Amino acid sequence: MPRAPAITLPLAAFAAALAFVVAGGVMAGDVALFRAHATAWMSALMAMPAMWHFLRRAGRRPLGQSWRLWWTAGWLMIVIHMWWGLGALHQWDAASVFARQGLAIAGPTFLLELVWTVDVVLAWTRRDWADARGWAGAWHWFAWALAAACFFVSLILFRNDAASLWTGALMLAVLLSALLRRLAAMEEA
Amino acid sequence: MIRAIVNWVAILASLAALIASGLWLWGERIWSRPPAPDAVSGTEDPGYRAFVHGPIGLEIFPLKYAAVIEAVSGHAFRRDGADPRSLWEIYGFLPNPRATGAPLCAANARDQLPYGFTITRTLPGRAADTPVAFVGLTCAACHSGRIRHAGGVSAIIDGMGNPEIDVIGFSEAVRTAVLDPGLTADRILQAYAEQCPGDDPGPVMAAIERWLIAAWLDGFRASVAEGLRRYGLPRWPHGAEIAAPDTPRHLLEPAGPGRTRPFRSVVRVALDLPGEDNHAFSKIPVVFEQRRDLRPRSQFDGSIRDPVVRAFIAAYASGAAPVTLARPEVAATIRDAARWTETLGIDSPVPSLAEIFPDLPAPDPALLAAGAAAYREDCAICHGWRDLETGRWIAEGALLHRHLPLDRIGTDPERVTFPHGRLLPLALWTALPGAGELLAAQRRRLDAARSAALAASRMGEAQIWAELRARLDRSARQFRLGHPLAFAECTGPDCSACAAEAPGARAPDPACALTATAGYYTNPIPRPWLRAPFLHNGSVPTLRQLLNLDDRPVAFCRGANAYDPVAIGLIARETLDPADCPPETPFLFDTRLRGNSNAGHDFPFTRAEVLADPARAARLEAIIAYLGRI
Repeated sequence: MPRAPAITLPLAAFAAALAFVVAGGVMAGDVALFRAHATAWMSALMAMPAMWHFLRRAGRRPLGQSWRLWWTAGWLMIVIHMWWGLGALHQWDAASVFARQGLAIAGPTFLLELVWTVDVVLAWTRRDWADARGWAGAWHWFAWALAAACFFVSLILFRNDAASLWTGALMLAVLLSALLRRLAAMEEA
Repeated sequence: MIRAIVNWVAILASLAALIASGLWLWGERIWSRPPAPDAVSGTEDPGYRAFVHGPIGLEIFPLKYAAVIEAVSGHAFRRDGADPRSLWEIYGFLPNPRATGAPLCAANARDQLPYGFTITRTLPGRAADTPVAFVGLTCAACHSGRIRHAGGVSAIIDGMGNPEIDVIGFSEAVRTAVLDPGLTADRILQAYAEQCPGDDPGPVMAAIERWLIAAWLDGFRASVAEGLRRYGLPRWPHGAEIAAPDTPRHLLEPAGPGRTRPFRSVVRVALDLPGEDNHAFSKIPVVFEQRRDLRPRSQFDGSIRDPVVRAFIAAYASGAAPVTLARPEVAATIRDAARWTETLGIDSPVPSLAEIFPDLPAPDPALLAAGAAAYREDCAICHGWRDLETGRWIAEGALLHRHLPLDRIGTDPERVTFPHGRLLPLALWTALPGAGELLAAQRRRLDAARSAALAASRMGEAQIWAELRARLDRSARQFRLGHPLAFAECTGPDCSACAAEAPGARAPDPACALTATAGYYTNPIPRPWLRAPFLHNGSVPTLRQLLNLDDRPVAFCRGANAYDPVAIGLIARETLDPADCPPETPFLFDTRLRGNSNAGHDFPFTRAEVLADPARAARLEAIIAYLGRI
């Protein structure tokens, strides 16, 4: 049996997520606020498979197309999140985000946008993207850790709403499971 | 093989969904554009455009429903089928001067909808742009009117309160219509297709329309249903659930034409408290010459300082959600319309009594001069005066711009003593979050109010402040840069006087944006002849009655009343029996009912003093002549 192309699921998930963001905004009380929140949830949901893959495989096995596609889908959604979060809610005034959230919160968020973008560019331009070593491999780890930390803080610690909390809890469970699988595999080896 | 097919189908479906989402987002940018000014207005004055055509966040229902509302929901708006007038006429909406009598369809809607209606593509109560057109009210729906005279009706006069519009009755009827389970998107669209067969949106747009209209209907119906427990059952036109079927209108829903119950609404939306015990009726006021030097505070009780804040509260109390009010075009409309009213009648002309009634004999110059002199002696102390030479209103008077306590003016007290009024200034000020220091000040004031309530063992009030603090925190997250219509609590550096404001205060700090006082505010009265019926609750039909030259009627008929240019006011049949009211003026205004008192304002003389001395009557006749010219 031929396997389904790796792109099918990430593409379908991204399309469904974007449709949810767009249609949900129309039905919600505030389009921009809903879409800013919903794109953050969707970004986390789509980054989850990639982060799970990464934690299990990085440094041990090639990352695979699934990681690259899900990681890219999550990044695309975080870019769209910027459109509504920074553009619609803050009128593209980044300084107002820092003024409102403080450097400790806003700084890592903007840093994540930058680091994730570079990481996706690396994933699609380097021949050794699946098994990167040296600074590129370190960058993958840095991007992963920064994303995990930012999602953990924004989804769980901020406790904005039930949807955020559930998304954060799911991400935590997925990452813990990946960590356990990795530890188990290392022990077996 | 099957897996490959499923795979490709999934990919194609995903691409289709992505394209659809992209097209929708692209469409939102187009749907959010306001219509070109020349398409809706003959004047380039942005203030006029905002006042007459600008959206203020009061979208009501889809345009296609408005087009067929008579056919699909007519029964919800009529108590019986005998009234031959259109639904819009029954509720006092102004006919569009450009109306041709053609059936209302999307293509001609701007000409066929009543005056003071606008068309947007904003889903009511939300900030979402959609391809479906919705109709909404503008300032002009309530604050424009006409004079009925022997020759027919005048042209529309922007800025006068519409004495015929029955907004409370209309909103009650809308609740009734929406709760009708037979009202569905399919029924609306089918009726529209029959009425406007040339308007075929195509299968895709028809499906989107059906979805959005159904979603609007579900949301509106759920909101009305939820509100039944807070607002009670609809009282009009079918109030049989709460009263006998033949209960007269004025006992079912007592506001009637030309009046609203603004503070019942404000209490509901700003405090989320029931307002049924609120009898603070208010006639829809004129909005001429609202310049700040002439009217430093607006509203009959002087509770609002800034015209923009006044316009915001008017829209907010009428149902505009903060998220809708934050839309750039809505916030701009609120500001531009408020600014326009500051000079309406000064820079923008308003017709005079003589222009509306050209056959009315001009007053004798000597009588006019005597009237001007008597007015300056007897009335200018509270209202200032108009210089007939220059046309300027002179805002000078020892008691002008003051709060007159109730025991001094003696008019109906309900407007300034209603339940929860003391809580409103802070609740309204914090309804729109500011940013930075303004937001911090709002939070501090709510916390301080809660602490004060707790210290005084007013636990219910403390709970309200806690809830409003939570609402403020939520909305501050929503409006990250502050709501565009958020306003400062006061003009000076120290708002402590505003914070100490309370009912009964005799001299509120003029710097306060909002106050709560148990008295009425003395303001100029430009164009008094356009202010009928008189007193804040519209309980006195004519100026002669207001000045006690004639007896004030105990009860009279209201609706589409003709105008009496001699008595200066409305011709209203006096009767105690609503069955005696003519069909065009079916509402019995009974001044014996709570909130309807016609007592007070016995200035310069009481009725007894006028009857006792003919010289006083002559003096008042002269004042009337002057009032007809200012």
